[in-house]
Amino acid sequence: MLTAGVSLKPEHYDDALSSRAAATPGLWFEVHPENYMVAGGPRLHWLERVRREHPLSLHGVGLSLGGIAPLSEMHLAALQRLVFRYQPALVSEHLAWSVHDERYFPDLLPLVRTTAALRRVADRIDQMQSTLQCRVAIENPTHYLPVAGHEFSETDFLRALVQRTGCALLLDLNNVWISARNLGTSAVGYLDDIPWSAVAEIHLAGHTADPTLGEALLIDSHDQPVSEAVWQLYGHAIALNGPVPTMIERDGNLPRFNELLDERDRAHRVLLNASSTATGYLQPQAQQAMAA
Amino acid sequence: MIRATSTLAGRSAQQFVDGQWIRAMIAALDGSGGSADAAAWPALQVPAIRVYRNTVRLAALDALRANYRSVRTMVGDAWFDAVAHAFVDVSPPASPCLLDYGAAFPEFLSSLDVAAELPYLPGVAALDRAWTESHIAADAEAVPINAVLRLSEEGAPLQPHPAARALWFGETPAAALWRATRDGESDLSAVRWQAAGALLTRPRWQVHWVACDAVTTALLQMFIGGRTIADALNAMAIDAGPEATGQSFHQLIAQGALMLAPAGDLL
Repeated sequence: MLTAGVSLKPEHYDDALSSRAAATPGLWFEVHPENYMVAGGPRLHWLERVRREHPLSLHGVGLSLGGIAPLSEMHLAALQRLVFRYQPALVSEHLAWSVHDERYFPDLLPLVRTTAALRRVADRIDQMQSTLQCRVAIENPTHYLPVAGHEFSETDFLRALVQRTGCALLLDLNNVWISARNLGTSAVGYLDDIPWSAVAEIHLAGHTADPTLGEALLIDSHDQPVSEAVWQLYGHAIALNGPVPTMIERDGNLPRFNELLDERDRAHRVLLNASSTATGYLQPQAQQAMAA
Repeated sequence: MIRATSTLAGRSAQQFVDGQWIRAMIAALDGSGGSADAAAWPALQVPAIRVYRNTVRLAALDALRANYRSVRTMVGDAWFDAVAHAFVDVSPPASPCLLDYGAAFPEFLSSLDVAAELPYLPGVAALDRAWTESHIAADAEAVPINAVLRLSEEGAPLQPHPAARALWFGETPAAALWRATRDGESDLSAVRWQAAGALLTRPRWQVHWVACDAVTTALLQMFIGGRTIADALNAMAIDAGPEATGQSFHQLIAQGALMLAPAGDLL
């Protein structure tokens, strides 16, 4: 049963195998597969040990589904090896690009949501799902720029991807909040438009204000606790739509593991409260979604 | 609502737009926001573009900082970051696996004028890189010391363990300096200026290092291709003498640097 999980960094490997982690019901861990695309060694061994104790999610950042260069066969093969070996409960990637002309840009860069882009991204998701032999969840990216030329809203684009490929969605509420603030749109409106039946996972993370522009430009820094604004958005979303496996994402300014678990426990309580008023939850929802 | 599918001509134009956008964004990320590519997109002229630019740059920088820990310890953050920025400009990441980023950094350091003042620095960087390679190398069983006699009698072919690396520096104290930083020594001035090597292996899931000499380094190379024990030792003994060769072989075995060669890898 998946409820709330946390991102797992090497600094917390021992903690992930601790008695507190073992005694935390519903706890799962998420890692970036790019950090485990190695021939062997301690990283794979550590992940093996964690996987024996807890469900695992592989959250890719480097496949560049939104790019125009062909997907890297080598990258897909490495991802396939990890999926087959670790049998993750969730597999996800981003609606973004990061690779072009044999160069990797370590970020999740925006695409123009055209009809051609929809067809291309859908084809690439098909390729990813057929290679991995599982359903994958696609995450909404953070936006900083008012890009012109979109033919679709992001929620319409994601809905079309779900319809064309049968993929799931990973809804990052911090990204929704930041993008709405940065571009002057409505976060609640975005949640009203998202096809909830496809949402297999939610991300919660912290952000920071730009040092020069302040609150006018929020940055998806993942180096702070989840903001109260995002917690409120989360409560609203779960109350309306029911529980969804949720992950506390933290990449920088890493706190002690117990602090991270305290944040995770808050999400866990939100999910349990929602499940007590909804029927049918506390089934392994994400695993069912992934098995499609 | 989703719009109707476009015509073939429209598709082609849209694909052109997608490629144009990506090229323009790359120009903006590289600091060429005023280029013809980027100028066509007003979105790339807003200050927020620097969020992406900073993220892309800092992620590459952080990877180099993590992958070249000893170099950074020795030269300090400011010096390291200045050189790392210059490296990122000429060798940006090619793969999303940043754990493996920066293989060319030791060679880049050699090409700098400053290498004349810090001649040991490329060697220290080469050992940082060797640590990374050892850390992520394939798993394999090393030859145990109690099996050597039997394997020697059987004429079994050996080869270097995937995680074994041996580097020798005949003109600088790079190996001793690297070992001192990895061992947490705070006073590097105590390190003597003399030739030295380092042997890296990975027993029990951790990269381990010891001092080694030039014979050990050369002997490990001898086993590439799957030589038998007698073959490699006899060849090495001609150059280094039987006693030094025997000591080096013992060190390689004791540190877990050799493994049985698969049948397909024989010379």
